[in-house]
Amino acid sequence: MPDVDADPAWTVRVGTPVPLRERIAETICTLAAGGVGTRGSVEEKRSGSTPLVLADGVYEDASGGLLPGPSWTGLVIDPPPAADERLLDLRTGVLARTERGGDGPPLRTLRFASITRPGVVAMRAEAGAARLRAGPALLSPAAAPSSTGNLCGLRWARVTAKSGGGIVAVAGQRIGRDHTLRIVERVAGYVADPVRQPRLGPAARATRSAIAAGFETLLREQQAAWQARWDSVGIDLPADPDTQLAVRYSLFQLWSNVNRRGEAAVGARGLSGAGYGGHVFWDADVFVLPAMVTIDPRAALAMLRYRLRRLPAALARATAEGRAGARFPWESAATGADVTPSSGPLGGSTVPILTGTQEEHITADVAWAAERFLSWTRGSAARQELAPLLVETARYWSSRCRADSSGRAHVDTVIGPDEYHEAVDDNAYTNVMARWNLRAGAAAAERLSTDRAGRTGTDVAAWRELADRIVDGYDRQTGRYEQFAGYFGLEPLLIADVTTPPVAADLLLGRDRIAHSQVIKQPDVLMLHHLVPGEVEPGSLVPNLDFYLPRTAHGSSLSPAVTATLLARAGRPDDALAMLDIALRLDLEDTTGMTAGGLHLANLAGIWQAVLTGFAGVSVAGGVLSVDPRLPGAWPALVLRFRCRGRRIALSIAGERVRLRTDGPIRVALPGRRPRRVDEEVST
Amino acid sequence: MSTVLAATAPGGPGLAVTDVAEWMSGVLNASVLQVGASGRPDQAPDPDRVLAELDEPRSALAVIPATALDQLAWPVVRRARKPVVIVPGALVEHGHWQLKRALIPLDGTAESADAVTETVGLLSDAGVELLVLHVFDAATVPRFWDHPGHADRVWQHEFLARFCDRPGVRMQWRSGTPGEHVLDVAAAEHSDLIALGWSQRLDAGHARTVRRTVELSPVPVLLLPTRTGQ
Repeated sequence: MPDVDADPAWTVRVGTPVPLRERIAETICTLAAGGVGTRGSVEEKRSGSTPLVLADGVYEDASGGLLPGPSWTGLVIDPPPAADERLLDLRTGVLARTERGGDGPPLRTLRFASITRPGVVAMRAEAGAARLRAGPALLSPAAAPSSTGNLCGLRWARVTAKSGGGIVAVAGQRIGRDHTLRIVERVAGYVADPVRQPRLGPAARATRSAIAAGFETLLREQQAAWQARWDSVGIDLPADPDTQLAVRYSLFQLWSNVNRRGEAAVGARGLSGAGYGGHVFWDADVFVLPAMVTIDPRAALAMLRYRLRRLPAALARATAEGRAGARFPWESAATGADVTPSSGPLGGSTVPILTGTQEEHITADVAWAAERFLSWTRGSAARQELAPLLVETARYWSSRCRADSSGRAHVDTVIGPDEYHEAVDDNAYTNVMARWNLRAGAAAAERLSTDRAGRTGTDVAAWRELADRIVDGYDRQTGRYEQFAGYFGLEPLLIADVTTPPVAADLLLGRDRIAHSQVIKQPDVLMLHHLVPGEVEPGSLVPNLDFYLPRTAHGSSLSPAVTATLLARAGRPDDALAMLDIALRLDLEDTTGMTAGGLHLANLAGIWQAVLTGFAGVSVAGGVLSVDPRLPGAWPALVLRFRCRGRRIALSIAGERVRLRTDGPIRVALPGRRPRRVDEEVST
Repeated sequence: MSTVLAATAPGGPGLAVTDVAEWMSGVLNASVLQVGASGRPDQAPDPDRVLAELDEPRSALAVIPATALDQLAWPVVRRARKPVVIVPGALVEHGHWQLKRALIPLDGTAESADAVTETVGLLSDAGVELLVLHVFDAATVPRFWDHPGHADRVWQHEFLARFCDRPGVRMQWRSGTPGEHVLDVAAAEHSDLIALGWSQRLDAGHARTVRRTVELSPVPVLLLPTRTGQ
């Protein structure tokens, strides 16, 4: 069995979990690549285990969850190990399992999802010959219509979705002996299609090619490809090894769970679990995408193509509601129609869920994601391709705003990111994002008409004029934005008066009490300072942070990481680190009680953003990469590698000294310096 | 064959105790043994005698009346090593008690889940409809609850998988203190029985839910000792 380097700086260890935590271990040890994810379940049947293979964007039906695919990791091990250890090696992208204790040769397995051969997975297992049997190379999930068969010595299995799409896998295995050991090598190729039945041929060809290459070659390819990834993106933070490992884990799972081919439907739990049905929320646009554009711009573009291909559904919805342009759904799956449930259980009663009808900021969030991608990458082709996301969303806001008698523009009856307060008017986040969207859309429309003469016929001047008239609730005297009209008149309850955050305050206090108080779920006004700092008043971060943070329950898993980012930007890096710590533990220690249902992908992305844009202070505006670090006392030095505007950047921060290296020309502004072109290296 | 002890007391819900014992004997595939004072079924049972009978290997469970709690019920359940059903005085001697639905309040600890696991299995196998109740308080409320519809589904699925992994079991949660919700939910759901794991500690700061439930419940309460309690 190939050895795995158990370097604690690169490996996540999971010992034999108590049965209650088995599903958490499976989530944490998820391996995914090429749009196919496999939970890190043990190979034999184990109490509490929920093996699952999922494919990007392949849903059971129009509004259902992700379709479970054929499973490729099952073995018969009798007796099963009483104790074992799973070791997820982030550096090489392999999951190794070793039996602990017991008599005779221990069970050892090693598996990976190939990042060089999309859809190909491989496993080697060894144990005493009397204990280990290979069994069928593929197992069909119980919960979905499936068929299986043999094809020239290979096993195939197909799972069919009601929508017509499906997942097909073709697997081969070789069973050998080495003295008293039985050795099983298994390779499978997966092909998935959200719309129609995938053919066996491509999966069979991928499998045959992988079998011909051999397990050792596949493993070497995997190791080399992951090394190349870590060479271009990563973190070195030796003074804080726990944070370093957790950030590396975040990067690992982001790389793994976000498909980089075609389109990527990045659900709230990625491909690591069935939770949230694989549905796509603003998490993808505002949290995952800005991370992915610095990690793998191609994956970020695939995420935008998911939205772009559902633009017709967004246009149709706006039309149906009597609006212009495109309104994107709060919760999206296969078709782009809104799949948000209309009601749900809450403490024994059924309550209406209004996010689908009222959380309209998602439309501006999609546009923001497109603009974020464009500012962090280069290339006019993508600008042309993504322009409709900016233009049609701006057109939506142009029809959504209401003008009062004084000419000021309002957005009524919405839910902001703080979902504790529903049906509010003039939510600052929604209004300012709409304002930003109108301006960005106007600029994009102008570029379009420049590129294709006479194309738009859009009155961009009217959009800009409307943007200037949108109220944002800013009070010059206090420097605060009012979260929505009437917010300051609510009960001035602080979260410390209730309990210690993070806490799901709506569960604790009840919806009515929360709705009449100033306690909020997550940053709302402050998200503006995070996403569109150019749209908020200069110097307004600190007064709003001081006001809203004591009122924030952090009852959303999105909240801690973005708050860490904001605290770092406000010059409070030690407070930021304490907040980041909550985010780092969220999945690795299951502080939500729900990691069994899958990783909180947006939190993982938020962690990387907190480090890169919060602590290191990396930003891009006007084609210039700026660095403005705020490191906590516990971090004497920080090294980050990331992608920016087509370049591979290596940033070293040590005390006041900043050094930046690039593999090609890029405009850079270091602290206290004017922007300048850098071809190789610059430092303070 | 194992036995279910039916401890009757004068003036207490004698028929109801017998009724409950008969039902529980059906669930456990056991016979009923009446236990009274000095072997006379018409006199108040003595706690020591009930406990001695319950310690017999053949005894699986005792059913006792809630009348004279301090004289019988609390002394028995505090020391019992096996499950005890306390039948409330309010359950009049109508002879119609049936066990169709049971409420299982769980506090989200392995101890309380372990205490009820075997009984939950028996009740489930006997066709009893099971509803698990968990009550959040300031200390146990989840830190994060992203989306009401989805979070509820994921959280409940995982809670049941960890603490009551039986097919067909339903779940509800409430916020507040468990004592204030157990009886309300039992009434709203028409539960015939409330099954509680407990540590057998009645000293200050302990067993508030058990005390309140036993004292006020209109339906029988099955108390199952946790290992830590023993």
